[in-house]
Amino acid sequence: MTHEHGHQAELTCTGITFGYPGQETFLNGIDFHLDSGERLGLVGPNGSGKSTLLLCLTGLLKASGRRVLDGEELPPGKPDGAHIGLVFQNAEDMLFMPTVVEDVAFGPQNLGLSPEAARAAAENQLDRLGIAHLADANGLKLSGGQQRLAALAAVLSMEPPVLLLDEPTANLDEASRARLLDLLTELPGSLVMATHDRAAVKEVCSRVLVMEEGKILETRED
Amino acid sequence: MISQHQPYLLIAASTVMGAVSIATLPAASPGWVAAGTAAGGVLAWRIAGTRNVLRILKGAAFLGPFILFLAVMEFFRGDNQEVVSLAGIDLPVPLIRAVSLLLKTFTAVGLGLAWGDRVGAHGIARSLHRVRAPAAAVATTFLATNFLSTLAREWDGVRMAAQARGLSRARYAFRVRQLCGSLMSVLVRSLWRGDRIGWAMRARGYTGRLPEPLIKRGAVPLADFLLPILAVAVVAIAVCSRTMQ
Repeated sequence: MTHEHGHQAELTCTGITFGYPGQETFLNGIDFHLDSGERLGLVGPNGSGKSTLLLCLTGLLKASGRRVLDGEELPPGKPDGAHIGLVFQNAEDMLFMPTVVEDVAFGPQNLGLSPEAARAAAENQLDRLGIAHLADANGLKLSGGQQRLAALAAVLSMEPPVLLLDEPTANLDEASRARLLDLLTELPGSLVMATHDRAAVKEVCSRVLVMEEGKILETRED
Repeated sequence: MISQHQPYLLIAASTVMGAVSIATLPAASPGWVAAGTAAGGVLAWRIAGTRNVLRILKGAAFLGPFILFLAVMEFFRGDNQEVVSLAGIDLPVPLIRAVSLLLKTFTAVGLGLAWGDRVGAHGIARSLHRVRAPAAAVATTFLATNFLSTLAREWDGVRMAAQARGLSRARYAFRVRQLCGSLMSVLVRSLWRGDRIGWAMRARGYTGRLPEPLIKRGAVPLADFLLPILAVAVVAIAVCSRTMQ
């Protein structure tokens, strides 16, 4: 299954259930549908299962249930950044290479691009997000806002049709937050954003899922 | 020039020190060797600073096979004396020599790092490329070297948290105990951090084979060859002179 640049996809999840080993079930049969190009907010108190659900949706955690992307079922427990991309809550965890451009090129290289083509794709993505000047910087030495943008570029460089974001506006100053939200609003793909930032949800998302204790309590149109 | 060719400088420095020990130290007693090299280690630590210990280890990790080679040579150097008394404790000579050699190498690496800035992942990757190391080894070393910077930051965080709560005013014994505790804390944090980095890698398509680092290989300057050639020559001369005796 391949997706062209800017392609939007619909994602249907049914019966997503997950429990950490030796503990009670944490996510209890979550069902939801993400329309093509839709922006979905995921809100709820700490520990309600938002981040765990995102990890299950990417396939990083092996949950039971089905994930169907554009009519094709994704295998459980097999993450694939080319289909569903995840920007982690802590952007530092995503910046493990010596320079930002290498971090952004890491995904495209794993997709089989040559080092030269991957570098070109990475530089293009950095330019798109307005951080081309940070290409040769060490990701760990950037500000929080710059790290968040670099992490976003690293995911977008794989051009996933569905983008998941875990607390994208946490610990950002007003200017960085506004810039990030502008970028998210302009992105063409489908998007799920887990956050406590209700104002950001209102600005970016058209629908909101409210989670509590591993379940979806309600769905609201914003 | 030094910062560009730092890995070679470190290899050369530790090689020369190892060679000097092989060629000249039979005349000295192991006790003096151990004391001298321990002092050198302390000097390197003081020059490089505690927060650079991980950097020194990074250099030592890069020199690992080389250190092993020299340690083996020290072990089999041959000596009639089997045990030496140091501060009233009988210690086997090969053990003392191995420890002294490691300390000497540590000193050389520490001084090298204090002299230049640090051994960067790119510098090491370039060096490995130049000696035609397999791409998988280059990529793994590249990532591992960079992870040490992450560990150094974790260590800084733990250290500053302890100092902010008055550790620098505590008694020395308590500080040493806290240091050991901090090392354990950094180990645990590094495992947790490594786990999350692993997730981030898998989420971006990593399936067990690291991509080739994006570094410009470029032409190989003559200076890159001179230092290791010089180092190898010194070892060869030292070993030959010992053999002829």
